[in-house]
Parts: sequence; structure tokens; C-alpha cells
Amino acid sequence: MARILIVDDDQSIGLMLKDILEFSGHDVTISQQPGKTKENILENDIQLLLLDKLISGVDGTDVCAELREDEDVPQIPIIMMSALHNAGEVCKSAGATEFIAKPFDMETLISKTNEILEKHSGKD
Amino acid sequence: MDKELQIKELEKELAESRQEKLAVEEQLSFITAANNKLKEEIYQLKSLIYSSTALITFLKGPEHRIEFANDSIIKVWGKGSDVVGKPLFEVLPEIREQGIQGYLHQVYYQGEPYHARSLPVEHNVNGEMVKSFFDFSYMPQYNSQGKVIGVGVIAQDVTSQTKLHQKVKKSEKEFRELVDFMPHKISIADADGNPVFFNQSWVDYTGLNMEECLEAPWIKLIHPEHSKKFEDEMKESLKSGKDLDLELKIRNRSGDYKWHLHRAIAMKDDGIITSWISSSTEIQKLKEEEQRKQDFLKLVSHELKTPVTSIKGYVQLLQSIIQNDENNITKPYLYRIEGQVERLIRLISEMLDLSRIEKNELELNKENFSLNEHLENIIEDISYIHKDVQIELDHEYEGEVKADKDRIGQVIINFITNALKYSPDNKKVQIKIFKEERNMVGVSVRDFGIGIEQKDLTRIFQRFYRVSSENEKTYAGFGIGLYLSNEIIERHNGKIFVNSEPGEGSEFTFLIPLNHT
Repeated sequence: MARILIVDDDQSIGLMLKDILEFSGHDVTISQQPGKTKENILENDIQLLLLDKLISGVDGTDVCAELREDEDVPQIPIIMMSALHNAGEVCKSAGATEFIAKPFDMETLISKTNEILEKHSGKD
Repeated sequence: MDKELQIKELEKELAESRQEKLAVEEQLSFITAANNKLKEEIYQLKSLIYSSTALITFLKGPEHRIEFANDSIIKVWGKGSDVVGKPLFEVLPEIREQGIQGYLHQVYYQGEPYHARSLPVEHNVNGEMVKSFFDFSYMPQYNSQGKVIGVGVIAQDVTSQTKLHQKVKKSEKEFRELVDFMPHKISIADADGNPVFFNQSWVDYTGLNMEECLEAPWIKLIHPEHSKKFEDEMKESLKSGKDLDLELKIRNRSGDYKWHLHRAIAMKDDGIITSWISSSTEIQKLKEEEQRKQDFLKLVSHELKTPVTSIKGYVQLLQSIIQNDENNITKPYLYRIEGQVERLIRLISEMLDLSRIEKNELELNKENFSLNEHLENIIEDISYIHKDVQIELDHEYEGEVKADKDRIGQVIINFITNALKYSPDNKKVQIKIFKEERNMVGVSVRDFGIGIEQKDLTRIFQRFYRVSSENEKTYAGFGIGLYLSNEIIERHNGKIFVNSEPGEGSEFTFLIPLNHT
């Protein structure tokens, strides 16, 4: 079990991800406001961030890069998501740990999430 | 003695006069011969003049009385042969007022020759006025005292040449008007590509007049992005004589660049290039529409992906929840929903891919993988959703390829779903992986469905092309799948083709290089 934050401006996607991840045993917070990501991480002691690349008015890669540069934010793993299949490299160079293309398989999502959480907890 | 002397004298006189007679006789025969020769020469000259195709007459005195007229001119006059001796304007009163009298008077009274080219003359032939054209020479004729006694006329009937010339001129005028009237920009260049003509549309577009157009360094009107390509292709065409055909932006009078389709073809005479004809058609609106369409497609497919992602997630969540509940009756329905969602996702992805291809953004992520395993996985997935189909796989070749795994999978899925779609009665598909010569590996997908007509075979790889049939509505799809497949295989430096027989089924094949480098 891990505390996960989902940042996506589309509520239906956020809810769906929350339902799936809660079903597989995680504790999930969803947010539609990319500007409050830092507060959300700190307030909820988040262990993994799922961040959409294309959020209304904001580029997810900028949010990701800012978090990586901010020393007050713990260096938790960040999974970025996009409907653009070839956005993987851009996301990773912005500091994302992993990239998932939409629409994804539930299995892929869960296995990648667990894989990353396992790796990360090993590091600590 | 006197008598004898007298006789001698007489004999001597006789002898002398005999001699004189001989000399006279000799002289006479010489003159006769010369005279005959002269007669012969005059005859020859006359017959030359009479039989000449040139129209020849000699008009004597201030009345222009016909002293002589050859056969050709008599025929053209059309007034019979007994015209000699009559004044010209008595024979042809209708030509008096057409200026002919003035010319003849001028030559007769002033002694200066007069020449005219393609002079129109109307004259009466059997009661009908006929218009003809003549080249004329009127020349003063002199007597031995140097006084003008008449006018010699030599003329040539040039009616047919003149009419042809007028026709050509008319035709040229029409074509020039046509070329100026067209909204297309038309220009003509010499064999070396130097422009010699621009039509009105060019003048209007560039805001330069014809002379400025001809002097303007042409290449400067072309957008810097395209000028190099244009120059290269033009050089190539000038060298080889091949048609030029390219899209480029050309600057207008306000300094804006607009998209044009530019084409040029060589005019040849006996295989040698004599000039170049070019046309430039503005396609700016078309380009803008295309762009709008692509942006719209991208937006639509992106917007559609969000709800579909959500549906897919919930279907999979539901499947996980009831996974261990053997008796749950909703299980097969959820699989059906998942199958349809997958189909929806594929259609949306095709739309996105289409706009990527058109913007040249379709990139390949090549990796080494086993084509055999990949195919097995794909067939397993398809069989999972389509329970009623029979898919056979024959591994004639086993090995790895370096290619974009997802994209190759997309082609294979497209082949198989097409095979199933167009086999309404016989859901059997045979798939084969094989090796071709020249280091190529191939995958072929054979069905036993409705097949494809010969006329459609070459076109099915075109964008939006769908085989039309009476029951067309039973076959869903955008007509993008094979176009995408073709693009994907081409980007792998491979080949794609189809063999088909209506009523027997089809076999789609792709070949890709086996390069592991």
C-alpha cells in the first residue's frame, strides 16, 4: 500500500485511476489543480505522483521539472501520462520516472505502479 | 578590137556581179537564220509567259487596254479569253473602285513601280463576288524613246496563304486571351529556362508589369524554404527534359507567400527542346483546409481518447472484481464490451496516425524482437475476443527482426481484422512467416472471403479508399487501415502487396528487411 496523488484536469480519468488504484490497495488523492501539487504532496505525505502531461493551461512537464528542482519536495517517483504516444522522451527528460500512454491497460498501470514503488522503497 | 575589148569588159563585169550575188545570197541566208532564231526565242519566251503560274498582263495606254494577258490571269479574271484589246476596267468594272485604278494611273503617269502584298481584291466570277488576296508588282513599260507606254503587271494569288495566316493569327489571339483570362499563372521560357512570357494572372499576382516580370530574378519570388529545391529540380528538368511538378510558396504583391502547385513541361520539335511552358496554380486554400482538417482530427481523436480510457479502465476493473467468480453471468458481456472498446481505440489511433503521417511525424522506435512470438501474442489476443474464428499460423521462418514492434503489430492486426471483416461466411485465416531472398522476412495473411476486384487492387492502399459494393454498409471502417499499413511498411524500407480473386479470398503480404544493425 502506498499514498498516491493523481493530477489530471479530467475528473473522469482521475476518478477511474483512483478506483483502480484503490482496488489494488492504495490510498489515493486526486487533484485537478496542477498548481497545488507541491502542497498536496507535502500535506498528504505522498509516495507516488501520477501526472497528466496535458492539463488545461499547464504543461505537465513544467510541473514535473519544477518539482524536481524544488528542494522542499521529496524526490518521490513521478509517472507521467499522455494521449500522445511519442511524448515519453519529453516527459523523461523533464524528470519523470516513467511514462504511460493513454489509453492504458489496467494491468500495465498496476504493474508499473507496483514495480516503481518496490524499486523506490528498496532505495530508501 | 573595140568589140573584143568591149566583150572582155562585159565578161569582167559579169564575173564581178556573180561574186556580188553570191555575197548577197550568203548574207541573206545568214539574216534568215538569225531571224528564225529570234522567232524561236520569242516563241519560247511567250510560251514561258503564257504558261507561267504567275499572273502576267501588259496594259497599254492611259485606258489600260489589255495588250497581252497570260492563261493564268485570264483564268483568275474568269471573263473568257476574248479580253485582249479591251480596256481593263471594261472587263473588270468592279475593281475600278477598289483602288486599282489609282495605282495603275500612278505608275503610268509618274513612271514609278508599285508593289503590294496580300492586297484584298473582290471581283465578279459568274455573278458572284469572290474575295481573293494578291501580291502585286506594277511596272512602267517604256518605248525606245523612253516614254511610258503602258504598265506591266505581275501578280501572285496568295489567297490560301493569307487565309491560313489570318487563321493562325486569330488562333494565336484566342489562345493569348485564354491564357490571360485564366486564373492560373502561365509562363513561357526558352530552351534554357529564361522566361519570355508571363500571363495577366502573373502580372496581377506579383504587381510587376510584363517587362519587370521578365527582368525580375525569378528565384527571389520563391519562399527561401523552397528556393533550393526549386532550383535543383529545375536544373534537373532542364538537363533531362523531364516534367517539373512541385509545391512551393510564391510571393505576391503585398509580400505574402502563398502555396502554389508549380508544373512545367518541355515543348519539343523533333525531340529537341524548344521552350518550356509552366503553370502555377494557387493551392493556399486547399493547404489551409488540409491543415484545419488535420488539426480537427487531432483534436477529435485526443478528446475521444479521454472517455475511452475511462471506460476501458472500468471494464478492466470490473473484470478483475469478478475474476474468481466462476458463475458470474456478466463475464462474457464484459469481454464483448472490452472488444468494442479496443476497436474504438484502434479507430481513434488510426485518426491520430493519419495526421502524424501527413505532418511527417510518424517516427519509428526500432527494437529487436521475435516476429514469431509477436504474431502468436497478437493472434492470442484476437482469438480471445473473436471466439468464432479459426486462425492458423505457420512458422516457415523463425527469427528476430529490428523494427518498430507496435507499428508492425498494427499492420498485422489490420491485416487480420480486414481478413475477418471481409469473410462473412468463412472465418478462417491462414498466416505465414517466411524468408524471402535478399534478406527479407515476410508475413502473409490469407482469407477465404469475398476477395477484391482487379480494378481495386492497386487503389486499396490509398487514403480513404474503400471497395464499394452493393452491401457496402455492412463493412465498417474509415478506409485508413491499409493506407497506414503501407506507410508503416514503407518507412521500414519494406514492401506491401496483395493477391486476390473475387469470391476466392485475398492474401495480404508485407516484407521487411532482416537487418540487425
